[in-house]
Amino acid sequence: MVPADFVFLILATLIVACGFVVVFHSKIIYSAFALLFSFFGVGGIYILLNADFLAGTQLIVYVGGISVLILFGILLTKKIYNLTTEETSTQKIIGGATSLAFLGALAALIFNTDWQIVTTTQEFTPQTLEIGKAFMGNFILPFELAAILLLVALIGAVIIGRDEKKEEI
Amino acid sequence: MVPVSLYLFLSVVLFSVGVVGVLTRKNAIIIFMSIELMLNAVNLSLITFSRMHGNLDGQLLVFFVMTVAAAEVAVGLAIIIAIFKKKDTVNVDEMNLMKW
Repeated sequence: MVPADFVFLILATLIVACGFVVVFHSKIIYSAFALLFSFFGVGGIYILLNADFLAGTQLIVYVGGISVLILFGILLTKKIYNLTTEETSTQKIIGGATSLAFLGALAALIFNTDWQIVTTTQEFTPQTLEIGKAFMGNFILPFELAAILLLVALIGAVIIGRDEKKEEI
Repeated sequence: MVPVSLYLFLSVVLFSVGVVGVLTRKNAIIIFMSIELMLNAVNLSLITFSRMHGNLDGQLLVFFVMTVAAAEVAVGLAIIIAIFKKKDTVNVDEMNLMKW
């Protein structure tokens, strides 16, 4: 067994196990922490796939940003973390069966397709330079649009999230 | 070298776990986190395809998906917490003000 295979197995187990904790744990705070580790594992898989820039971005945006935002949202809101919602068993059965059928169909599709692999190089090639050139070249318009989208979302989140009682300034 | 189909299978398993969360849970924050799991699964498959073809376009698309996900988390979490402050619930069945 090559070390890379071993790392893949560990990361895949981590990701899927943490995914199950996110979905099935009754305490929301455990779900949020499991989500953090699941994001971390996905970042590790990105490194295995030779995507170094995106692995760093995953760590900064998902692990450092989104997970921490969700944790802060849960922890700073009074009593939101020990709310329980009971699910009906019909919903569980129908939902579970639907997603199992979905999983089966896509897995059959994946393992029966003859994937055409173009690259065969094994060695690591840094990609940050190429990605930077693409963003400043062909993809400059979507890049700027993403910046505007982030600004709009930031202002919107502040306006929605602030306390409405302190309106008079 | 791990075969490409295994990466795709991991991505599909992660996506299905997210689908289970969205379909079976009623806690809005859990549903929200399941959506994040599904976005991650899609990103994983896009990077696998990008690696398969030796082409950067998949990775650029993942970058934009991450941007939209960050925006979605900021606004979505703000909405959920605002609803919780107003109605004292995160159960999606009770958030039916706009239901016809």
